[in-house]
Parts: sequence; C-alpha cells; structure tokens
Amino acid sequence: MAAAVKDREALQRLSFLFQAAHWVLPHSPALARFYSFTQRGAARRLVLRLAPSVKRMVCRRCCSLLLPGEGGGQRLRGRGQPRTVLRCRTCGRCRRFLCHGQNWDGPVLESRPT
Amino acid sequence: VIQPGTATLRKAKKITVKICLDNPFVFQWKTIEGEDMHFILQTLEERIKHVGLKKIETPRKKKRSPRKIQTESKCDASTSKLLKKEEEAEGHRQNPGWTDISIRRQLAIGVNEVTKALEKNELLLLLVCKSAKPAMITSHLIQLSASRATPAGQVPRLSETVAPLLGLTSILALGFKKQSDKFTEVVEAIIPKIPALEVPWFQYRTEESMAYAHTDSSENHKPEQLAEALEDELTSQKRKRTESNQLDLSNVILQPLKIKKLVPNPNKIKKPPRKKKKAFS
Repeated sequence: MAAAVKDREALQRLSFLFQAAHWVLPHSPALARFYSFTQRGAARRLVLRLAPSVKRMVCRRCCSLLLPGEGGGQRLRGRGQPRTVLRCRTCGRCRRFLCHGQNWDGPVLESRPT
Repeated sequence: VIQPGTATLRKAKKITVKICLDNPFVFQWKTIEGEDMHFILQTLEERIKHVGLKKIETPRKKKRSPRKIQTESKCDASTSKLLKKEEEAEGHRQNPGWTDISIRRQLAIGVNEVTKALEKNELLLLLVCKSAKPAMITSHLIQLSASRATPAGQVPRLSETVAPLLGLTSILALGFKKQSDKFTEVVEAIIPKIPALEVPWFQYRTEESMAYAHTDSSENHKPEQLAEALEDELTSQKRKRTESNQLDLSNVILQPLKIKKLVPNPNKIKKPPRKKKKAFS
C-alpha cells in the first residue's frame, strides 16, 4: 500500500501535533490552539481523515483544544433523546452529539485491523 | 464503464480501504477488585439507609406505598406503633422531594451535577457506574477527575444498588462534596481502595510518569533529545524568559501512531442512483 506509506509521515505529524497540544495545554492554551490549528490545516491540505473522537476535542471555530476539564464543558441534555452538549469556553460554540442507544460502537463504516 | 443493468454480474467491487487518524490516547477505567467493589457498595448502602435519604415522587402513587412501608420498616427501629407512625409518616412524606435537603446538598447525584461540581473543585470522591450505555456519557469524567486530582472509581453495579435506595430510577455518577460531614467516614474508607487514574499529560503524578519513562525507552530518545536540545538553545539565547515558560518535557512519552483503517460497510444501504430522464429532451 504505497499510499499508506506516503501518508504515514503526515499522519505521524498530525498525531504529534495533537499530543503536543495536550501537553502544552496547562501552560498556554494559545499554543495549544496554534498546534490544533496547524494540525487541522495539515489535514486539510493533504485531505486526511481524522477520527471523530479527535475532531471533537478540537473546537471548530476557534481551533482550541477542548478537554473536559479545561476548555470544553460537557453536559448531558435531553430527555427523549439524550445528547451530549459540548461547549467551547473560549468562543462559546456548542456542539451536540446524540448519545446513541445501546450496543453502538461506531459509525456505519467498519474498521478492520489489517 | 459497466451499465447499471449488468451490475449483478460482477460480484466483488474493489473495496478501497480508507485510512484515518485515530485518537492516540485511550482512557480506561481501572477495574476495581471484587472484594473492594462489594465493600464499597456495602458501606454506601449502610450509610444511605442509616441517614435515611430518599426522594419521593408524587405522580407515581402506585409504587409509593410498598416503598414507604419498606423504608419505614428499615429506618424505624421501634415498630411498636406501626399504624400511627405510618399515618404520621405518610402525612409528612407526602411532600414530594427529598427527605433531607441538607444531606442532599452534600452529594452530587447525576452526571451533570457531578461534572459541575468537579469543574468547581468541590468533590472529594467520585463513583461512577460501569453499566452505562453508551459508555461515552461517563468517559469524560475520567479526564476531568484526573485533572482535579480527585479519586474516582468505577463500580459495576452502582446504579442497581444505590438507585432504589434513594428512590431514583438510575444513578450513573455520584460525588461526595467536600463539606459533607455525614459521609466523611465513608469517603475515607473508600478512598484507599480506589486505584489511581492514568492520564499522561498531567504531571501531578511523577511516580507514574517515571514508570512510563522506564518502560518505553526506545520511543522516547528522539523526541526527548530534540526537546532538550531546543530547550538548551532557548535558554542560551533568550535569557529574558522567566523559568515558568520553560516546559518540563523530560517526561513526555510520544504515543505510537494510531491509525484506523476504514472499510466501507458492504451492507451499506445506498440510494439508487437517479437516472437522468432524457425522455423529454
């Protein structure tokens, strides 16, 4: 899989940026925001996919890294259809995710460890 | 180009495997041993029964009477004058709500309340039920509690045991606030039984990070050396920077790259492609 090898370096870079942003967060959220911004820009340039769990940790508007403790408040709302509401503290943007019913592992796309 | 009519002839389409970046961090609750689990549940049960905290809901009248009789038989030691006490208690307990508000304030019941209290650093201890489905609704608590250095434990049957005691349908998260006087004994008994949580980027726990550094040595060298070299350069060039800006990067462990390979679902229901009708052209 030649395509995988080419992107592997890029994916490593993305992963490194993501982890670095986590490490830096307590010291300066601005730097974490810069890292996430670079990560998103790199992914966009090379058209690489990010896992939904990764995407949720980064705010869409301001690109700041959201941790459940610092940055993003998370609440459960909704009686009929329970959903989590993730709120970015810096820009105040809300994201809503449905809590799917039981026995739900991931979206329709299957992932096979090959 | 194969016509759509002959689609049934060819069997396997070439399934392209898409690659996407997966989250390198994995947060897992640590499993508490069976004995500790039972101990925790038992102490909680005893304490709650002793205190007599309960929530009464008015709209469900059918379920009230058997529950009330049970609670009275448990809580009231002297059962000599059952009838009179029942009547008095009924009159007293018909007010919907909690039996004891002051005790209710010492506990944070429910996921939202627990998250709020955690963000304000009000909690001493955190207990989470393991039987949450989907597990996503409690997973954010791991990181939160680790950031505030609050012990948190996952107990499988928390909801099943505690919920009926308190008169609620289900409890997924329970927190003990810092000012609770009645529950301090329970808290102190439970805290040593709970294993510590692993969150890599919080350097509150130097012991764990040291253990990490020993185990993964091959991956560390390059990023560490780079980081240290960078740090040295910075310190030599810019001396105006105070020491608080320098990061302690010696304990950083770079997680291996996690790639998720997505295979499009073969059973995916696809919309039938719309045929452009050129009959009228």
